[in-house]
Order: sequence, then structure tokens, then C-alpha cells
Amino acid sequence: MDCKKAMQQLNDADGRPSRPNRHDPELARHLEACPACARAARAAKIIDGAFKAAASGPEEPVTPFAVLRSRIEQKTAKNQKEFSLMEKAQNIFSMRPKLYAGLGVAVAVFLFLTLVPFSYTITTGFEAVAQNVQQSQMISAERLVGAMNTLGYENASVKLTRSAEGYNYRIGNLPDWTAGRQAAAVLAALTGAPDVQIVPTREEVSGSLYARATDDRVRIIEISTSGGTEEEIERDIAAQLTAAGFMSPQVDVTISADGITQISLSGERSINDGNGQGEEVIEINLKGTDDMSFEVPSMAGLPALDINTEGKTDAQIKAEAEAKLAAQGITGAIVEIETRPDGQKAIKVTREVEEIR
Amino acid sequence: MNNDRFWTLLEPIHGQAEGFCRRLAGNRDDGDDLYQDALLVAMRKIGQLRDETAFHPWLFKLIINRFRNRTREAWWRHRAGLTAGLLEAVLIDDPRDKNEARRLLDAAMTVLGAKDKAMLVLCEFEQWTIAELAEFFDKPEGTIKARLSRARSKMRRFLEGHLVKHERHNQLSEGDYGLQKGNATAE
Repeated sequence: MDCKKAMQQLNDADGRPSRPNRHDPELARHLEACPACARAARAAKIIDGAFKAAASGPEEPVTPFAVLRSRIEQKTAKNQKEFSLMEKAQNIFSMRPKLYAGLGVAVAVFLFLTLVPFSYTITTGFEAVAQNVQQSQMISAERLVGAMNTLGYENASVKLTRSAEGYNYRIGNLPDWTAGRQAAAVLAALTGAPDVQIVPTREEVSGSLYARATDDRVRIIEISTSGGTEEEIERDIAAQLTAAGFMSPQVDVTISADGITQISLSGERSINDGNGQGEEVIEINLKGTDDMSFEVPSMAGLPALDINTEGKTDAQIKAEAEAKLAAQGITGAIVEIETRPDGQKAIKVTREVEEIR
Repeated sequence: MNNDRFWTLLEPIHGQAEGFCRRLAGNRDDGDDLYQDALLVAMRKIGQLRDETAFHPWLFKLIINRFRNRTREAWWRHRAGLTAGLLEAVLIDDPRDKNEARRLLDAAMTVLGAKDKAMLVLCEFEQWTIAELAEFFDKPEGTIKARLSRARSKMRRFLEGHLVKHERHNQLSEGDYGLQKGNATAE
């Protein structure tokens, strides 16, 4: 037997409680001849003996259980206030493992809402537009800009073009509806245009669903009562309500002799509240001497899917819905078509958020 | 699970757990301190134990974790280092006395990590089988055998080093190559 094999046998024996190989005669002969291996075997024997001796004999007395319990409970009471919130949370989560999944989904949804960008359009301002104005001479841009500056709109921009039908004027970069109305008054006064339109400037922006919801939460309808006739005010309000989605709004404005303006308006619009198409009706009465304003909720939910289902199979309707959703930047949505007992088709759109752990 | 239930589960294994802590720590005082520390943590975390039948291995794992944490702390390392002063114990040729044997093992086990020490204590003192250790540490039996062998080999090499020094010392002072009991001197 050589040293390598002897050491291997000693090592093998170390892994077994009975140490069988230590008593091998061949190993004993080698140990007699090799001082280094003999020393290793001696060390192993000392350790064996020490383990045996340490495990035998009387044990030290065990602490009485009642004494231990009293001691620990005293310390526990003292340390009770030191339990950290994290440990309590760990206990709650370990007892309810589904909470982990729920928390994961909540975090995923939160991140989706706040971080994943989508394209959508918002109203960033207004423009006053007069088209096909019949004039002998075009009003200069400098004059229009000067007029807007006088009114306090220093950032207003003016664009002039000429067509076969007449001159076209466009004053843009107006911050709100009131500015649009004032710009329209300027255009009407200087150009003599009979019909000046105020149109919102829509811009496509990229932002999270949360940002979109914040942007679109409410729409403020502003009513400027100063300087306008009843018909003009009615037309302004009706135009703003139309822009907010209300079809054929009814607006009635009365200005009394003592300067009090009374406004009553009503309208209805189609909305998609997430459960399908519906109607929203508003009826508002206002009374005052100054400019007034009121809020209407913005159109909420998923963009409406305008699909004509007549003569189409469910598969065709589904394909058309998926295509329209994809065109609006919504991918991964599950579209299901159901036929209700009354024969109407219901389109159900579901969007799932996958949890990644 | 309330506190009363915790104590009910602990009572049957109290002696075994306390003894394990003492052997793991190397002496009674440090062992009792480790045991109390582990029980305080166990009471806080008992809510995480779903299966009461697993209380025994759960508590022992917690004790090993607390021991491992202690061995990482500076004050413990300093204290463990003091056992180096007991190195003369390794020169006891035939440690039949229990206290001498423990001193020797305590010194030799300073070369082991906390987990290896726990494994060796469970095997040698608590008489756990390889199968039980494999289940407890969640490792194959072959891995447990290899780790036990490695741990003992480390202790053996540690002892060999001291035997060599001692032999040289004796050779110089007495011209004798043998190691005689009661003739040892501290290194």
C-alpha cells in the first residue's frame, strides 16, 4: 500500500461513523513503515477518541423547562415593542402566500399604468379660423399679431393664405377657449368675416395610461359673458359642448336689463363606460354677472369601436375589432363576440397583464 | 399559533435542543446564550411554521442559523479566538476524560465553518444517521458523507500540524520522538 491509498482509506473512514477501514491489516503495515501516514492515523485516532469520550458520561444538567420559559417570556415582553414592521409583514405573507401573487399583480398593473407609454391625443390650445374672406386687400399679419399682443396673447401665431375663393386667416397658439373667442372677435372686426370658427388644436402625445386619465379627466367649458350678445354666447357654448361630444346641445342664454346672465343648457352624448355603449345627459342652469365655467367629464374608457356587424360572422367582427384596436396602439387584447338573446352582438374586449416573477 | 402551543411543542425536545446548543457553542454558558437567543427568534417566527410536525427540524435549523450569524460577528470571533489558548488540549494523546476531550474538540473544530460543525455535532453527539442528516440539510446522502469526511479531515490536519510541532519540541528537549501523556507544553 502506498501513502496515497493509505490517506484515501483514512479519508473514506472519516465519512463513516463506524470507521471500518482504520483496522485494515494492510493499512497497519503501511503505518508502521511511514511516519507521516502514522501521524495522520494517530491524529484521526485522537479525534475518534475525543468524540467518543465527549459523547459518553453524564451530561450537564438541563435547565428546568419552567425556568427557561419564565426567562424567555420576560425577555419577549421586553422586546415586544422592538418587533419590526418587516417581520410582521413577513409573518402575514408567509401565512397567506396568495398575497405575494396579488402584490405582484398590483405592482405589475401599477408599472403598466405609469410606465408603459401609449399614444393619444389631447387638446393643447385653440385656433380662430376665418376662411374664404372676400376683401379688397388682405389684413397684414403684423396687424393681427399686434392686436393679439394688445389683448395679452404674446405667443399667438398668425397664418395667412390666399385661395381662389378669398383670403384665409388662422390665429393659433391660443391657450384656452376665451382666447379663441377673443381672437375670433379680432378677426371678425378687422376682416369683416361673417363666420369665424374656433377650433381646438389636437396633438398626439405619448404617455402612460395614468397620464392619459389625468389629462382627460374633465373638460372645462368656459363661458365669457362680457361683450357678447345672447346669440353669440349661445353659439360659443354649443360649439364647446359639441367639441366635448354632446350632439345637438340646446343652449338658452338670457341677459337681463340689470346685467345678470341666465344660462340653461342640455345635451346628450354617447359614451363607452367599459360595459358597452351608453348615453350621458347633462342639464345645467347658471346665473351670474361675470364669466362662468363648468366641468363635464371627459369621454372615458376604451376608445369606442365603431363596427357595423350587419351581415358579418363572429370571426369577421372579431378580426375587425382586433384590427381597430391594433390601429389605436392596443395589442394583446382578447376579443370575444357574444350573441345576446335579443339577437344583439356584444363585443367583449379583455386585456390581461402577465405577472413576471 | 399562540405562545402556549409553542411551549407545548418545545417541551419534549427541550433537553435535546439545549444540549445541541451547548455542544455547538463549545461550552455551557455560550450554548445557553445561543439557545435563548434562538428561542426568542423562534417565538417571533413561529407564525411562519405551517406544519407543527416539522417543529423539531425547524427549530434546529433556526439554531444553526443563529449560530452561523454569531460566528460572523466580531465579538464571537474574538471570543472563539480565545480558545486558541486551549491548543495544548490537542496534545492529549488519549482523551478519556470528558472535559479534556471537549477541550480538544473545541480547539480542533475552530477550523470548521458553522454548518460543517453543526453537521458533525449532529452526527457524532446526537447520533443522527446519514439519511436523517441528508433530509435535514436537504442534500444527497453522498454529499453529506463527503462533507463529514472533509470536516474530519480538516480537524485531523489541524491536529497533525500540532503533533509535528510537538514532536520537534520533544526531539529538541528530550531527544525523544514519542509523545508522552502529561508531558505536553503549550505552543
